[in-house]
Amino acid sequence: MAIINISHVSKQYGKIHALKDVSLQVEKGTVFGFLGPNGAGKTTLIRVLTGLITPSSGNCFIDSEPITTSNKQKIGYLAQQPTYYPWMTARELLYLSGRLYGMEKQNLNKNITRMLEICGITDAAERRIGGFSGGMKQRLGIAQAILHNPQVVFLDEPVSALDPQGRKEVLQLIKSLSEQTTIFMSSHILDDVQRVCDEVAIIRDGTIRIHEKTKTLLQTHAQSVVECEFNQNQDAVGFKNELQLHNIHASVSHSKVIMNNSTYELHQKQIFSILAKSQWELLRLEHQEATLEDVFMLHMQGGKS
Amino acid sequence: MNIDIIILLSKEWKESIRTSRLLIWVVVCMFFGILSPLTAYFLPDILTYVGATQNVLISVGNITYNDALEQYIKNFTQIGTLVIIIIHMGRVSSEKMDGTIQFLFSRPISRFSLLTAKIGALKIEVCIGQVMAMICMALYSIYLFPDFPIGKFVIANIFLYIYFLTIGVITISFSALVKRPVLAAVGAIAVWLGGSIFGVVDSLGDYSFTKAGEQVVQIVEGFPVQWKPSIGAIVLMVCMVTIAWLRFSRWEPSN
Repeated sequence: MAIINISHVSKQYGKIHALKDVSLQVEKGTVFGFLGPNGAGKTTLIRVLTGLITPSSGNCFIDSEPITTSNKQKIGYLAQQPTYYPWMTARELLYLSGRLYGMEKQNLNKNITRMLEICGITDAAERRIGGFSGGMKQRLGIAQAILHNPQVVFLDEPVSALDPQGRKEVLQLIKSLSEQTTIFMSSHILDDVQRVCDEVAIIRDGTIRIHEKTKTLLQTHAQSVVECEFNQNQDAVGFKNELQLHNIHASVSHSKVIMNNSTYELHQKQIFSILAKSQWELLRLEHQEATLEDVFMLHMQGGKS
Repeated sequence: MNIDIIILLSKEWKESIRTSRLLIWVVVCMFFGILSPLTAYFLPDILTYVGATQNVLISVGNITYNDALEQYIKNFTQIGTLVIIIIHMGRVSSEKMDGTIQFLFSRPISRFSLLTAKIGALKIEVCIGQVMAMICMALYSIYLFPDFPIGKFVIANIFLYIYFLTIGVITISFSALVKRPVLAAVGAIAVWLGGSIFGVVDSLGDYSFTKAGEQVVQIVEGFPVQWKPSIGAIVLMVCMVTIAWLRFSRWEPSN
């Protein structure tokens, strides 16, 4: 059952079409990754879904209900650049958030303590937010977004301000949350999306370019490659030219010759024969799995041509 | 009252204390409450001293509590107005600029609730400051001018409160209308000056909100209360809040 249902949503700012007839369904319990370059419309769509902005046309439903002020209890939201009251402490902010979501005072304090622990900011609970680092604000942002156990959590670039360790922890937290809630996250970090998201959509120029399960996407839209790294770039160029003479297609990038896995498997004997006869210094020959980045780049380039 | 408004009011109250907004207002109010009777009382001595340094004899008539009241109204309404505008100009627009307002609006609260809470907090803050000013002014005036009519002074301050409240509501309304605090201040100052100019127009000018504060001396002297400035102030506040709410309800974050 789709918990998020976006139907023909468009958003126009003067002459700029931020979203063009976007339709999307997200199933309950999914970790949904929303990818796209800067200015593609990711934040605009998340703002529409959180009721912060109104679409020019189309409808959005969360759990079969249109987004109104009164049913925002169903959603949690972490903004791209989370800004909170610098004069408040982390605990006070979570208390305000919980109260505004209609949580009872008795349970609220227990929930806040648990949430501070989960997000790893217990030590900073009584400190003013004004002194928080970007990473701490991001953790606090996640805490305030999930405090009231929403049905859907919208995370706009949730790990962009975190260091590698913090990123890993937050991604684990996001993954663990999927057992109780649906997560809709946008990100630039494709590796992170690939790691945690069950489903992915790519948006470009306000239009959804592709929407698939992550596994299906990788299987159908991206090809694994074989990389041959040489000691010198001229060796790589020489190898590529030799391959071309044998009608084997490959490309060169920074002393690496890259070819599709299917090409490699088809011409494996010939390739090894060429390498054996040559004087080029081959450092490594490696099989690279398909990544979301390949799919992303494919669709970004596809849009340009 | 709606529970959201109470929660937001409590947040606004804490903010006023933590950001020293309330403290600044109370200190300014107390300053004018203390300074006005002292300046009036010691005016002959000050002028005599100034005259002596320049070999000029300056004589001043008998100083009464009316002089203290005039000092209080003139200084307080001018500087107090600017202070109110400055401390409240960012009440909504700063939240829009910083992005903190998105935190609130992603929750189940209406924009009307937020605007109501902000105006509610303003009412309390202006009241506290003015009560402090009134206490200081009354204590010093009673000591320096024993015939000071305390009862009439308290009643007169209600109209001064209406005046300051109008200034605050205008500022917050502009703050909800525009993107930057400085624009809210410019708008509020423009309405304030417009109100002062409107005040000199025959008959209609009696409805200018600026006259609500100016009648303090007359009320203390026993003249009847003029209700027209208060009616004008209420009408202006309702109009400003309605315009601000209509615009604010359609506001969308752009950055």
